[in-house]
Amino acid sequence: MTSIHSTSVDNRPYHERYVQGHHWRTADDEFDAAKLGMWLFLATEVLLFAGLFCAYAVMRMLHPEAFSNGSHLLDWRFGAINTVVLLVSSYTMAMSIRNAQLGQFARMKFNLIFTLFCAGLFLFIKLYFEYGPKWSQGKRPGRLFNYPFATDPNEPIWWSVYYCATGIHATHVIIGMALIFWVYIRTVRGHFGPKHYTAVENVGLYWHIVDLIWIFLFPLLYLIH
Amino acid sequence: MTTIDTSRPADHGHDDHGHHGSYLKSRGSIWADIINWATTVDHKKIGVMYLVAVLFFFFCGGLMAILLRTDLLDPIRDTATGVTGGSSFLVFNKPESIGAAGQNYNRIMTLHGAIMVFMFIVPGIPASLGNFFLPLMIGAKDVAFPKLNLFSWYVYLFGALFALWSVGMGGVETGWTFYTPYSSSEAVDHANVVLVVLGVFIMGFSSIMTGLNFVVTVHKLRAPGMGWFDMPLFVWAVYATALIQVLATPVIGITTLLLIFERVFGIGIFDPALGGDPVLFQHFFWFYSHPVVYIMILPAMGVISECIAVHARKPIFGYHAIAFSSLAIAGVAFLVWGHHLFTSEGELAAVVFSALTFLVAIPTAVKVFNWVSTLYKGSIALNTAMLYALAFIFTFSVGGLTGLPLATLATDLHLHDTYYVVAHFHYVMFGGMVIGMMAGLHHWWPKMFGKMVSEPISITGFALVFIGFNLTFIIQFILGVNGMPRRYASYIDEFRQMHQFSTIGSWILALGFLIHLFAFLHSMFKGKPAPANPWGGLTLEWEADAPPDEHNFAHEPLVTHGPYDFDDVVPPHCDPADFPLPEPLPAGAKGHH
Amino acid sequence: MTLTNFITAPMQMLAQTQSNGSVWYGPRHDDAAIGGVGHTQQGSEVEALFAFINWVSIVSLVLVCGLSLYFVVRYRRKAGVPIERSPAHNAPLEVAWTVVPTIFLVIMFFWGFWAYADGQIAGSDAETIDVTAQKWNWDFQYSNGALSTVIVDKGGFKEAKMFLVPADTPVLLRLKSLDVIHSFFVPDFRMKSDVFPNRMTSYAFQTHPLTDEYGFRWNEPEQNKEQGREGNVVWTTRYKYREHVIFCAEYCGDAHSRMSAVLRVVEPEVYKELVSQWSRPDPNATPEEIGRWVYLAKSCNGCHSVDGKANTGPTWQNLFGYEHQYTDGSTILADENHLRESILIPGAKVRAGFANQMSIIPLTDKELNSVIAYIRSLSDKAPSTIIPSNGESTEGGEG
Repeated sequence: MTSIHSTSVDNRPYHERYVQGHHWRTADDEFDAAKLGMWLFLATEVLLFAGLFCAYAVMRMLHPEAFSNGSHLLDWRFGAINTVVLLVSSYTMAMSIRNAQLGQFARMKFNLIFTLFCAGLFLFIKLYFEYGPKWSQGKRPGRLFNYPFATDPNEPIWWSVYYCATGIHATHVIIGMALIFWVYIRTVRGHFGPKHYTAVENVGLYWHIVDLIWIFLFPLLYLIH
Repeated sequence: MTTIDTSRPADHGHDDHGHHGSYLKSRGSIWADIINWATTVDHKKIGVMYLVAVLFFFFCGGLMAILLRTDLLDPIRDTATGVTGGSSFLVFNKPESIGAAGQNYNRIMTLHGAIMVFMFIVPGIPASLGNFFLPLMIGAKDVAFPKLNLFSWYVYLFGALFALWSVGMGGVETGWTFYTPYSSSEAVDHANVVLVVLGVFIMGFSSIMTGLNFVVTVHKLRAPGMGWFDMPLFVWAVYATALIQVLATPVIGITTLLLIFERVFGIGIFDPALGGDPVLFQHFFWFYSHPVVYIMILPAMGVISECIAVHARKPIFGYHAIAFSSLAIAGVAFLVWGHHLFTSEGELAAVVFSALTFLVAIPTAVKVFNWVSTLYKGSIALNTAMLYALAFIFTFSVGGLTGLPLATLATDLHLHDTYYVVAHFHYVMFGGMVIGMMAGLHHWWPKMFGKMVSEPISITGFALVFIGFNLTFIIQFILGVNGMPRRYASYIDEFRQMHQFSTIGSWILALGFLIHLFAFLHSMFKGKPAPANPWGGLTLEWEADAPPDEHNFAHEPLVTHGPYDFDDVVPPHCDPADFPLPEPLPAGAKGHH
Repeated sequence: MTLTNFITAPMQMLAQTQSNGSVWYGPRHDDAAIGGVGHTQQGSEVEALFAFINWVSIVSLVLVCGLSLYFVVRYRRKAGVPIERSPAHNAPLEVAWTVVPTIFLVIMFFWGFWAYADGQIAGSDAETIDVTAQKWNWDFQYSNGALSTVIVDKGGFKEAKMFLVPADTPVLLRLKSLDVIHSFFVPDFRMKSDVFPNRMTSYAFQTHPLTDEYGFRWNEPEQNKEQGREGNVVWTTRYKYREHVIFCAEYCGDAHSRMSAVLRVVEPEVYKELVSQWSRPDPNATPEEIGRWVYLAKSCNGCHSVDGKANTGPTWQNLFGYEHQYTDGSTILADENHLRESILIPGAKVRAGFANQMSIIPLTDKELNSVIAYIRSLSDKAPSTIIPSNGESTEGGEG
């Protein structure tokens, strides 16, 4: 993006050579702007899920029995394990930002990999222990519902809300994994360091919001009566 | 007296100094130019590309409108020989079938609404004029995230093409509001609805990215010396708009996503047959689509503030009131969606939303009064931009005032979903946004392209647009009060004359726009070269060359005066003899700020 | 309510002077009663309120635009003349133009709220009628079970069904939909209400009496033959009435603009008498006659013709006993079982050239059999030549 008019080849790592975009006055301005942009984006994420929570609230108000029965068909233990997994991953993600600021590259790489591992574990539990068996038993959303032992005629609606909410959340987890992987590759290439870690910080913010949304989804879906 | 402090030393050693030549400068070959434009991160080029795209969709949507109006010249009649009447020219599939007679009308009606709202009005002013002028007006070299800016243009185009793909597949007849359960019923073509709704979902991303970019730009890239209340009012308006874009668009995202799931998997959240609630869809939809009205009107109001101040050469009256009313409108915008549901929601909700809706009227009225007061003791030049700005005061006032019976519960129960509403929102959207955009285009055209537009041609265009628009829509208020429901492919005989009146108006309107198109093309190829500051504006964009330099300003501007200090400052690039100032005030008694 | 009256009284006068004989208000069908009175008590209130808002708006518009025009003319740019200094804000003025409109807005809100409340509540003695909406017809079911089978011509627009309501009596319509969202709209009553598939909504009104003040027309017995071309009613009495159009105001698909009907306001005694005559078909009627009654009463005629003309649905003429093409490419013989399936599960098999637009119409067994008998009677294939295919088609086979 920018070039340094210098006669000698600069051998410093990328994060030390980094110069802000030509329209920025200082690198700090650029960093602040990127962070402000990320916070605004997180606001849109919150509003997106706010729509889902509204749908949840309205449907639960219309069909409380279906939600109560449906929730009992979920195993709260899987939800709890996944909550712990995501909380741990949030911690390692936060640590990787700290590592970048302190220039601890080996630890940073480990923390990123560990975050990725947790995200993968979350998805594995979700797909293998939750979606898979439920889908094959016929506990499916809306018209696809085919579970013979349903006790409430509106149970398909419960499953619709369940799959929409957790499915859209899982999509965010997958996007988050891709972003963390991208940060990891750039870390290996020496793009981040104490003077330049904008992308690590912002991906970290994104990952925390994904975690935070799960904190709300877990009790609303698994722990209701 | 000038805003450029040439004595400021360079603060960083790379490429921001010196003259690079116009941003329109050719790269040599046509291929080099195409590649340069397609990969540019220059906000000006992206603004121009948006302008071309939105104007293209405006003409598509306008063509649909003319088809609809022409179709309504005559009602459908069921006679022994089959279907006759106005609509028969749209009935090319099954002319023998009465039931299908409305089908093509409904498809074109849907297309008109969807194109105009999602592809023209929403990106309309902010993405084109906003992209071009927001950084210039705050003295920045670009928007905060230039690559994201280009990406959002491609996303917008991609989404638009997705939506238009459905036309090739036979079209959609849900109306642009996609109300469930009709839009999710089997009667409506499955794949096409998914395509259009997916297109809307994708274009939503583009809108969010643009809004996000603008908010950060305004926060972080204002030139040294420019405080919040030194910003031009257009910047305030675009800033307020950007906030709405960021905060409202995610909701249409989840709405369209759920509607797609509804169609593809039958999840039933909006489907009463499965225990869902169709009114929930309406709440979701209007939670976005009402703020959208302000996404389109606020930037237009900003344009009008600029035009009136510059062309009346007058410090804008009540700068703070106008700036804060933009924010107030943006805030209240989120609280009024329920007035689209007076006939469908519970009584209590209707009463609350009626009260909240009246709240919007106050900041809106304040803006209008401020504009009128700005004219007082001005020096008013009647060029096309100013004529459009003055026309805006009329059309927008009509649009706003006819909103009152719609905010009032009892009268809305009669007027809801009739032509009264159609006329009202066309007065707001067309009389507001389109008229505002035309004002802005004429105001800034010399700056954007370095060519003047021929005043005689564009004033002719203005006259036809103004007359045609009012002929088309004034009569629709009366139609609506008489009970003509909207989205009708046909009507009872009593309404015939009024429909014909309206249709003739729409033809005049279309002619006016063809003349404008000609005027713009004429300017591009044969227009006189424009001076850098033809109207004597004081905002920073007039400091730049016409067309602006590739990097906007040769040096970073330092702001030393307010955007509307016409009483004290000779405009940049202007001869003081052409812009005589009043006697200076005695020291200590400063006018504005 | 005293405050309402205090405001409405002068405004009502204003409304009438403004709208009498003008082009304002109400579809101008050939009715004597057009005159801007709103035709119902609630409607008249809306009229007065609307007039008030209009006058406030017109005055503000003239003020704003008049001042702008004056300034434009007075302060046109003159070359070489310096601009005049004038204040860039003026606190008292700005407060005034914020507060004064707010006062008017508060009046509008409360008046609108009161008038709205009047339209939401019907007395406990109200005549209650069930209204069903479906694509693309209205049906009124009266408290004695009667359905209308009367069809009248309306302005070259379509064949419309006619319904009755009693004059000067509180009426409560209970609205429900069989398919998508519709909206029940009588422009003359200045009110509409959405109609949903998953909940009931209501529409309450009380019409003005049929007096000279509010206008009415006489129905002459000899007109009945033309007015009620279909159905089983013969009216022998001369009676007063006013006629209003019913529209659907919520977009509901292909024939949305044709979803209209006629509402006739008659004296309460006449209403009682006519509705009791309407009632149900003769118990001794043949299945074909009952089928014909169902065809009209349940609005099958909205989509299916009996004269061979295509409509939203296939015509019933020569439907039975013939083979037809279907959208899946198959050809099926229309026998009794196929007809039965198509009525009960409209989407099971869709005829080529048609979309699956049909709603599930609730029918009793007797009505279902009668409709099939009626369809059979419209075919030139004798029933005896068709052997039912032993339920094969009801199993949902591809045929």
